Amino acid sequence: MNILRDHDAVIGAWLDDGPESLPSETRQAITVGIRTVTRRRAGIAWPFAGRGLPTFEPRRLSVALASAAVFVVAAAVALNFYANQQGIGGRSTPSPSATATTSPVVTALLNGFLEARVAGEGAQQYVSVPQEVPLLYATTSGARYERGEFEQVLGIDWPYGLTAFKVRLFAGNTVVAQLFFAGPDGPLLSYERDGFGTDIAPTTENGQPVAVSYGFFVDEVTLRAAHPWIFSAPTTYPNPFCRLIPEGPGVLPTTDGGQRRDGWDRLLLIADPALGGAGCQQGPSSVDAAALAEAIRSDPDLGATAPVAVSVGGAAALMMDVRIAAGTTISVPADDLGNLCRTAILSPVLEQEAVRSSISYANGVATGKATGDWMRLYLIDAPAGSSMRTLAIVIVAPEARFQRAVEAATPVLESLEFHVP
Amino acid sequence: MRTELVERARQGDEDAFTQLVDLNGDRCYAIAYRILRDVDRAKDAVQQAFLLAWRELPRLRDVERFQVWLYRLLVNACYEEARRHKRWTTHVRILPMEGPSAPDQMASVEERDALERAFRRLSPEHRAVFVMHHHAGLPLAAIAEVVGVPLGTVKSRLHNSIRNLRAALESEAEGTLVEVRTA
Repeated sequence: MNILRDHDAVIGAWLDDGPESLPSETRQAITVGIRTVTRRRAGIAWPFAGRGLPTFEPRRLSVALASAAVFVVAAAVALNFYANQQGIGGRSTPSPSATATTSPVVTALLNGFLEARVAGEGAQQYVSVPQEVPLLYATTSGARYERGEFEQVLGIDWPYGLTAFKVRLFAGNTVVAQLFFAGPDGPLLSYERDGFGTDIAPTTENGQPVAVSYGFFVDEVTLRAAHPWIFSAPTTYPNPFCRLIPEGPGVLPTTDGGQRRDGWDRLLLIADPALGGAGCQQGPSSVDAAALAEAIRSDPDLGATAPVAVSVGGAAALMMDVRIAAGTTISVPADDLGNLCRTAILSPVLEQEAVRSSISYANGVATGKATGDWMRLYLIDAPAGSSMRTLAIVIVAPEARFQRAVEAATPVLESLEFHVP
Repeated sequence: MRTELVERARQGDEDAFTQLVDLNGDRCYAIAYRILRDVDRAKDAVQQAFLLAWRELPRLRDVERFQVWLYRLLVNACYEEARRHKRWTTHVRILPMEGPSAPDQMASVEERDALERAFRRLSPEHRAVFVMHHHAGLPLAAIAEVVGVPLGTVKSRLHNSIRNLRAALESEAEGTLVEVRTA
């Protein structure tokens, strides 16, 4: 074997090897399926379809033919919860005339799930990713559940033809409520940490969203964030960040994994942030928080406010706002491939959307236009012994939503902790 | 002609939509298979994507963007399939016999295995970018639109993906080299 072959060519050949033609049975399933799918009406924003319109969401042809579920979509801004409660130890209430029915498979799944959670074991087998389900067997104070119930969530048409269920578990006066999803035939329940990004918190305890703990930079920094913040997988993006779900009822689910037409408000953590320079620095920053704040403040194009001394995570921090006018030319350090350096503190406000992007790359610098979003910066000198010299917490939002984003970030910031070996 | 089909399908013409399935189905399936590395899940993802497309098509305002929009539905369906089946099963395929006539660039059994394992370690988001660029040939800007992330993120994912796959082959090659030395 020639072990000096071009690896890329081998990879390309491996990638190209595989089926190329859509099987006829799948084509047939699509042809049949479109006759049973109720289409959206143009001009009516999803999910606000007309009241009483039946929708049928087959996920597969076999499901379409086997399922007897009919979903009534309510035309409303707020959710409508209809009492079709079932479960373990729950009270049964009469069902109203216009309710959806849950398939026997899913009913058994939910009942089994609730039984196991009350029993204190075996619930994992009912959920696709059980480790993501908070408070599986007990409340935040450790109280074991005494009974549970579930009801189907109506009024919002969920992505991918899934049905949403609100599960409630009771421990004395404490009620833990969670959102789960299921296909018409199961086979497992799904728990989405972001609840598909709507205004419904995926887990609440006595009505309050339950915060989830996150660790970053090899757990050197930890924090807790609850709905309406959604944290991204740390390995997916260069810098850990979370998105803020827009406020207001009737927020559309995100069917495409996170994109919204008007973007997300975000909170990012940037280790050893850099304002300028070329190429991506290696190792801890050469400047401390004060020097970085001074550099930011001294650039008139950045519209920075004077830094204010605050405390974050028990560490001293400098808080300042950066308000770069939309369309202003800004430069951020980049690597040889044109990737923005993860330390580039201005990258969150660099216009990168494909359609409008006009970023040019040269000599380790990416130059483009600012989005016009505002940034609230918390610049922190990390404790001695940290792998980083400075940490920047960056909250990004358009001016109209800036205050809400900053206020919503307060509990997240208050929970931040440094853990230095 | 394709935009005309899309427009007709948007108006409810099932035949027009069926023609769109015929025109796009193969490519969508090829992409889905290479992201998911499973025939059945790829079929499910493609079916889901087209059914969603039929349902949502009335809301597609710019018919010129049909393909990008369809790819977005497809990629999201692949993500959903990947989430539903987080445990990867061994995918056994009948491999062609290798011999003197095999092209130089064909992967050996060991290389295929190394690539499959390395590819499985990539997130669905990384796999989608990699497949759409290197197999489907989409430009990076188009991929950024499809997956809904900044262009820089697309580049980063692509870079990481190819780096991991190359590393898998290099590890495999080093292992073979060691075997040769000790033979």
